[in-house]
Amino acid sequence: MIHMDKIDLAFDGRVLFKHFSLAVEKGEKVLISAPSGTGKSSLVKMMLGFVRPDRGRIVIDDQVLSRKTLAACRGKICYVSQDVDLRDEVVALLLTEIFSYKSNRDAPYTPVALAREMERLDLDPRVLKKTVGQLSGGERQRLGIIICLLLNRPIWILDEVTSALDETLKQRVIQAVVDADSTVVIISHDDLWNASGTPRRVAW
Amino acid sequence: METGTVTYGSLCYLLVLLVPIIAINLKLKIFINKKLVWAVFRMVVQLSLVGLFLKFVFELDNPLINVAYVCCMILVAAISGIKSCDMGGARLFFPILVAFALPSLSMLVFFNMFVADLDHLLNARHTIPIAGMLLGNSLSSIIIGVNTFYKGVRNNRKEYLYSLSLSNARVEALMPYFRKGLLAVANPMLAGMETIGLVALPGMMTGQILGGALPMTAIKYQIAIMLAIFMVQYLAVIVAIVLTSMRTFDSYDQLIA
Repeated sequence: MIHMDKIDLAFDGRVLFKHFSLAVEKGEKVLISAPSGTGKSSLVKMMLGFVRPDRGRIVIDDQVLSRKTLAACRGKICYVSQDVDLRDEVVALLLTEIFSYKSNRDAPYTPVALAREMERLDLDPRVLKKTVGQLSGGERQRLGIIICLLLNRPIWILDEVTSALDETLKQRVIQAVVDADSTVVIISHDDLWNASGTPRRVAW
Repeated sequence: METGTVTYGSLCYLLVLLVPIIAINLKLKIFINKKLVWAVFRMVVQLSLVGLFLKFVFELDNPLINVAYVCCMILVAAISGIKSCDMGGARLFFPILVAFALPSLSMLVFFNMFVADLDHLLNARHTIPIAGMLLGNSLSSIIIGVNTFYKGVRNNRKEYLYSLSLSNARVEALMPYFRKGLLAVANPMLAGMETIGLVALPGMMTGQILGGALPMTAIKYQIAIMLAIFMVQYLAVIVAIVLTSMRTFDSYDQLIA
């Protein structure tokens, strides 16, 4: 599903990746763990087509990532960043906006589905009336994961999405990810992912 | 029109009044005297030259010369617009030029044709001052709108990238910053329209009334020009943001510099 082939990437003269290769098969869950500052978020940005590698090839679902396939490739990936960088707007309005984007109109987003996912991750419905700035870190992360679940894209990239959650919620999120059919790339320092036994660990 | 009250001599009285201001600046150590003198000097020289030149242009009243004059104004506006936009750079010259030219010229023709109902579509007495009004106001709105837009994208890079990943269409991800840019221009204009005339009479109307026009004539022109300025500013910002953004983002949707 995701193939990175002999990737080179340098940033400000610092080499982050040299002949780096990674293959994630369909439905596979991969946990990437590496010390901070060693290019994990650059790796994610390359997969999303935000950063172009200096050399090498990235294939997303049999399509080589390029200017022409950029939109198609991004459309297959749902990305949740650590801080869930949403605009400081009322949550309900943001959700309406996100699911009215052209590429998301077929997503299974209904008030019922939303309520179900919110209940699953123990997110208070009152959150919908708050602005993003009023949410706690944990509420934001759960909101990001719920958006991801509802977008239902074939690939998920989860960047430190459990850092602000308590043990019970972490377990629930991990369970939701393990149960999903999607291909999932997880970046996390959390040992609970390892304990769940499911993801294959890639470390450097 | 009778304008006899302001003579060159009486203008000098006003200049003399600058002396106490210069003294105050010296006393309070506000170091703007050099700038002040230079600005006043430039204003007097520029306006005098423009006055002489316009006198000549008005006498000729040749449509070609009028159009050429307006084109020069557009060019100067575009150059100074680019200088004041954070994004700057020669690559934005064409987009900014079009943002000045397209809305202002369309409005100018429309205004002269249907509002002022002129016999000669491009007569100097209307064409040049109205073009000046439209372009001058476009200048400030393009600078504010474009800067607000790019500042929004630059300062919220993570937000933009996250939206981009959610929507996978650049236009959708940029829309919030586009709206912000447009509102930054529209809001002050609408506020200005609401209170116009209550406190200060607008410059154009004051000029007309002092120049001898009837208040109602001046008011009609003022309303017409306010509407024209609003529309031109609004459209100019849209054109400026849309056209510049075609050159400021790379093929991977990243803002260049």
